Amino acid sequence: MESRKRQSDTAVIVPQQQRQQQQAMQFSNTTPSTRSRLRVRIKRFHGVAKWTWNAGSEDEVCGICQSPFEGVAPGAKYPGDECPVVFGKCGHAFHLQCVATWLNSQRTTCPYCRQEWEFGQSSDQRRVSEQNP
Amino acid sequence: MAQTLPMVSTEQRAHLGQLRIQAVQTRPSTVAAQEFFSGDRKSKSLPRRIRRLTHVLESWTAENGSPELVCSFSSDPRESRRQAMTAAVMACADASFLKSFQVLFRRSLYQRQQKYQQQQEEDEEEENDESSPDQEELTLFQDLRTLGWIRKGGMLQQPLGEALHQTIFKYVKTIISAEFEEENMFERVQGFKELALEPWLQDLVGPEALEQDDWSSRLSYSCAECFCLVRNEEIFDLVAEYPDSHPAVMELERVLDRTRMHPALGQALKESLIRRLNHPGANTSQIIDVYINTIKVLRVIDPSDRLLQVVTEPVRAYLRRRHNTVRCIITSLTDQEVGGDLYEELRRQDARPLEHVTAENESDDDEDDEPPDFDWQPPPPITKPKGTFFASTGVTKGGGGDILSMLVSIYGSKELFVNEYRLMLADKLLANLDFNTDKEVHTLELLKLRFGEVSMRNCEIMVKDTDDSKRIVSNIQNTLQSNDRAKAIADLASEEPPMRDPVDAEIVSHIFWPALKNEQFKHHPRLQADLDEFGAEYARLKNPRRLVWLNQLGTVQLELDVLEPQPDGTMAIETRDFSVAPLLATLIAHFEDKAEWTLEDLSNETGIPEQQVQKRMAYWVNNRVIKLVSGRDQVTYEVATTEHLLQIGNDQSAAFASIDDDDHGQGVSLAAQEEEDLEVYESYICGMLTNLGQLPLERIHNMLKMFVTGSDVKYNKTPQQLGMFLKHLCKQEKLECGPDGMYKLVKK
Ligand SMILES: [Zn+2]
Ligand SMILES: [Zn+2]
Repeated sequence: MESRKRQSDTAVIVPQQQRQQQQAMQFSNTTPSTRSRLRVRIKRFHGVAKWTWNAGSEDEVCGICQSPFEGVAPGAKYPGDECPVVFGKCGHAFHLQCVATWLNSQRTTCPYCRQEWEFGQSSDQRRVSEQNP
Repeated sequence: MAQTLPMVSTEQRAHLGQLRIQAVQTRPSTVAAQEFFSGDRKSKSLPRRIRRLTHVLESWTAENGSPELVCSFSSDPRESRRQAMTAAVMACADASFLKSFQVLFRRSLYQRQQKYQQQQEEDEEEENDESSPDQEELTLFQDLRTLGWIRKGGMLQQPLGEALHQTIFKYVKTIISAEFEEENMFERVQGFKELALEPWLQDLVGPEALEQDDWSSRLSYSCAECFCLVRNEEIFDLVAEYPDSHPAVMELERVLDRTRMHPALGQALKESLIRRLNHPGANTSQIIDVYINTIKVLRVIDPSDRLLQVVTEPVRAYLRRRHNTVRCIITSLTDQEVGGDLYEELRRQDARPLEHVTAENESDDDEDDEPPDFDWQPPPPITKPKGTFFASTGVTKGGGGDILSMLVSIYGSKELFVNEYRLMLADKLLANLDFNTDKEVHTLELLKLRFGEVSMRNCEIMVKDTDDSKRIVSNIQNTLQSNDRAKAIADLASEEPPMRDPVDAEIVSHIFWPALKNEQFKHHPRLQADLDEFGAEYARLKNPRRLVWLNQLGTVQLELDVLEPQPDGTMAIETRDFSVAPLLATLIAHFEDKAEWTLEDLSNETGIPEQQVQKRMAYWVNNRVIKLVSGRDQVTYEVATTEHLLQIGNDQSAAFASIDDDDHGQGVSLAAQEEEDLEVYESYICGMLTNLGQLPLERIHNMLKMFVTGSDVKYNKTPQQLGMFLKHLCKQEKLECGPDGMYKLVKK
C-alpha cells in the first residue's frame, strides 16, 4: 500500500464545484470529523463470473446427452464456443452436436416434445438481436 | 576307574581319594594359581603375576610335579601341564578375572592406536621411527602364548574379541561419524586394521597363529560390522542429509554387502523415523522430504524395495492421517521454490504414467493393517542376485515405481491428488490478475504425462478459461472504449469523456471448476453499473451466453482520497491504495455518497446481515480510513479525519492491511467442496447406523470402503476427511458422538 500526502495549494487539483463546497463547509462550524469526505477511484475491478447458455434453470440438462448445457456434448472437447447450444422453434434447447446426431438418424422431430424440429432462437436471443439489427 | 578296581574296599577307596586331593592340592599348578590370586595381587600387576605363573609352568618338570595325574589332560605332557595350570587358575578366578584382561588389551590397543594416529599425522616426515614395541608388553604376550590362553579356543578369546570390537568401534566412530560427504572411509578403517591392529595381534598371538586363525578376515568383518553399527546410530541424519550424504550411502551399501546387516539397519531407521517424524511437532512437508530421502537412500542400499516397504510403513500410515499431506505434495510438485526434490521429480525425462497405483489397504479389510516386520531371513549370499539384498518377491505393496507413485500410493488414489491440484489451481487462477498461464500450462502438461490426460481434463479447461477470458476482456474493453469515443463525437462534446471504471473478469466454465463461493449481495449502484455494462457487452459478443457474477470472488484495486478542508482555505488530501474483495469495495463506495453510515443502513444497502458487515468493516476501521463514531445508540461509521488516518505510522496500518478479510484470496472454499463430495455418503452412513446402532469412525470408514464401490459413487476418502464430515453431521444434529467415539443417529 502506498501512501502519498498531497497538501494541495488549492484549485489546481480540486475542481471548482468542490471548492465551493469546501468554502461553505469552512463556515459551518461542525466537528472536524464531519468535514472530511471520501473520494473513491476504482483503478481496476477484476471480477469473477460464470457463463451460462441461458437455457432454462441451472440444473436443466441437455435432453439428449443428459449433461449440463455448460458441459460438453459427447465428442466435443471444450465447452462454450466449441459446444454450442441451439434452440428449436418449440423453445427446447440441446447441444448442437446432440441435435445434429439426432437429426442425422432420420428423425425430424424435437426429441423432447415431438414437434417438427426447426432451428429457432431463445426468447432472450431474439430480444438481443432486435436491439442490434 | 572304580570298576577297574573291583577288589578295592570302601576304606581303601576313601584313602585313595584323600591321596588324590592331596596330590591336587600340592600340585605346582594349584600352588601357582593360589599364589596368582593371593593377597598381594593388588601390589603386583597382572603382567608380573602372569610372568610368575609362566615361570612356574616352564620350570614344572616331571621331577618336581606329579605327571601321572596331569597326563589325563593330553598325551603331550607340556600341553597337559598347561591345561592343568589353566584349569587351576580358572577354578580360583572370579567374574572380574576375564574382564581385567579385556581392560588390559584395550589399554594396549589404545596405545597402539595413538601411535598409529601419530604416524598418520607425521606420515612423510620420518618413516624409520620403527617405534620399538614395549619390551614388557612383548614379554607378557609371550607369556600368554606360553600359557596357551590367547590361542584359538583359549580362555582369553572372548575378552580379546571384546577389546578388539570396542577399539574398532571407537576408532570407526571417531573417523566416520557425521562424516557423510567423504569417500573411501572404509578404506581408512582398513588401513587402521592393517597398520595397527594386525601388527599388534601378531605381537600377541604370533605370526603363525595370525595366519592360521584367519585373524585378518575376522578383523575385516569386525571393521565392517562396526562401520554398520556406527552408521545405524546416525541413520536418520544420513537420510535427512541426502543427497549430500551420497558418498556415505554408497559406501554403506558396499559394507552392508559384507555384513548382511540390512535388517538391523532397517530396524534402526524405522525406529528413528517414528521417533523423529511421527509427532505433531514435525511439519508435513518435512516428513515428506525425509520420506522421499528414505526412498532414495534405501533404493541405493536395497534395490529390491523390500526393506523400503518395511521401514516406511509407519511414516506412510502417519502421513495418511495428516490432513494436509496431499496439498503439501502437490505444492512441492508444482512450486519451484518449495518443491526441491518433487519439483524435479515431476520434470524427470523418464517419467511414466501412474497406472499401477492401487489402494494400499484395499485388499485387507481388517481393522489394523498388519505391519510387515523383520521376521524374514536374508537369503544365503550365494543365491543372492547381484545388487539386491532380498529375494525378489514380485510386486510388493507400495513398492516399485518412482517417487511420485510411491507418494500417490500412500492414499491409493490418484483422483485425490488430481482433485487437490484442481482446488489449488482454482485459487491460483482466481488470484491471477495478469491472465498469464504459462506456468500453469507447463505444469499441467507434466501432470498429464503422469496422471493421464483424462484425469486432467477439468484443469485443462480451467486454464483455457483464463486464456479465453484474456481475449474476451480485451475485446470488450476495446468495444466499450470505441463506443465512448463515438458517443463523445456524436455529442460534439469538447470535454474528455468521463473515465470509466476499468472492469475485467475471469470467466469460468463452472461445470469444470470446483465449487465456488456464490453467496450474493447487492453491489453499490456504481459498481453494479460497471458490471452490468461489461456483462451486456459479453452477451452481445457471445449471444446467447450470459454472465453471472460471483460477487464473493475477485479483486478490486482502489485509490481512496480522504479530503479535508483546512482553516486556511486549502484542502488536505490523504491518499491510500488498496486491493480488496468486491464486498469491501462496495462498502467503502457507499462512503463517497455519504460520510456517515449506521451499521443497519449498510446492512440494508448490501443485503448482508449486520454481523457480517461489521466483520468486513473492521478492515476499513483497522486501516484508519473509517472510524467508529462514539456515543451513538447504533453502531455508526464515518470517514476518518486526515489526522486520524496519519496517526500511528504507516507501518502499523500496513500490518493491518495484510489482514484483509479472512476468506478473500481463497476463492475456493475447501470445506464446501469436501462437504459436497461427502454428502453422497450420508445415506449410506445413516443406513449403517440404523442397522447397527452405533459405530466408531474406523468401522464406518471400512464399511464405506467395502460397500460403496459402484461405478458412479465410489468411496475414496481418508478417515480424516470422513471424521470431518461426521463432525459436520453432528453439528447438523443428524448424528451424535459419544465420549467413547461411537457415532449414532440422533433420535427424534
Ligand atoms: Zn447434449
Ligand atoms: Zn421441443
